[in-house]
Amino acid sequence: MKIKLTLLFLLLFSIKSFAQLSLSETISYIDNKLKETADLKRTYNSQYTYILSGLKFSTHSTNKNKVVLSFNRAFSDNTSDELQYIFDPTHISEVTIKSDTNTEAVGMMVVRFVGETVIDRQKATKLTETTTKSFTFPYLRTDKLNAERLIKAFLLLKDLYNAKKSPDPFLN
Amino acid sequence: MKFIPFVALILLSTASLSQSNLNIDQTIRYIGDKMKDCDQLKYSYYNPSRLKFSNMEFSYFAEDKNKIAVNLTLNYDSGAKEEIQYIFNPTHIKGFAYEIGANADAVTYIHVQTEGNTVIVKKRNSAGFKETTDWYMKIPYLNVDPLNQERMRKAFLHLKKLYLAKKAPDPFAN
Repeated sequence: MKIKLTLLFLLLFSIKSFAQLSLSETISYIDNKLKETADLKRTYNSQYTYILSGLKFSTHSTNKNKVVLSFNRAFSDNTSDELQYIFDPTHISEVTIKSDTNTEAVGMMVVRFVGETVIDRQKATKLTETTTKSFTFPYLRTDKLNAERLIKAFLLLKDLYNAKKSPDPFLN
Repeated sequence: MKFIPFVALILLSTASLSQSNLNIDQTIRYIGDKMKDCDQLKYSYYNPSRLKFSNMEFSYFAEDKNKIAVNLTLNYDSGAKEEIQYIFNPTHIKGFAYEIGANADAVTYIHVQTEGNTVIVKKRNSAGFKETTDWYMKIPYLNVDPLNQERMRKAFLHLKKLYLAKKAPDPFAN
């Protein structure tokens, strides 16, 4: 009985502590999940592969209301690119798993937004900048629970950013 | 009868919520922040041609504290760039117009209209510098939050009210 109670207590404690991650802890959690895919391969357009590197998920250096996701891809045809997405977590509308037929270690999540509010920078031969409504986020799917963990983490991040917004003085 | 004070409290709190207590500095900062929410985001000015906003500021006009200066830079997809400055007196605000859902951009404009052509408009682009006056100015705001249009309208009206309140009574006629 004592063991059961202890286990139950530990379980409750772990659930509670997960839900109580602060904003910086949540960013760090997602960053660590992202970095689990470093140097791993993923197939691209069924004929090339790429290796991920330079993975980073952090707060924007000058705008604390925004988060930056960046990573590099080194393709099997010896080309490479650098991707960067800058977004406001309060604009997240949905996080889903990208459907995929292959069984590689690295899967992709799709993070969608309420509008075209994500700044999308890509550098291959030259830097291009546009805006987008979504981005894909690489994660390690060898652990079956990772997708669900990341969906929860992104939604928690949205909640935390919403909570830190001060109430609007003109209309809420 | 006990519930009367309770009702009075609710009415009082509703009244205070509907009337913002921001002062001039805070209201200017509020509108400036709303504009800055659009930084680096795109707007379709003539579908599919788009432009990107940057360098947005909403602040006191340095030479005349009774006026506000609005700065924004438009970076067109074509590579062209236009720097715009509006200088206006908030007590001249007369009304607003909105751009109705022609596109699904994250950013749209509120048109702030004034009594007469009292908005000074300065534009600098590849054709050179031009200064003129107009009866409205276009202020960008984030369209993805459906409440923002009404927030902007209220904020500009609040600013007008604050500027009217700080005006010294005219010695000849009010």
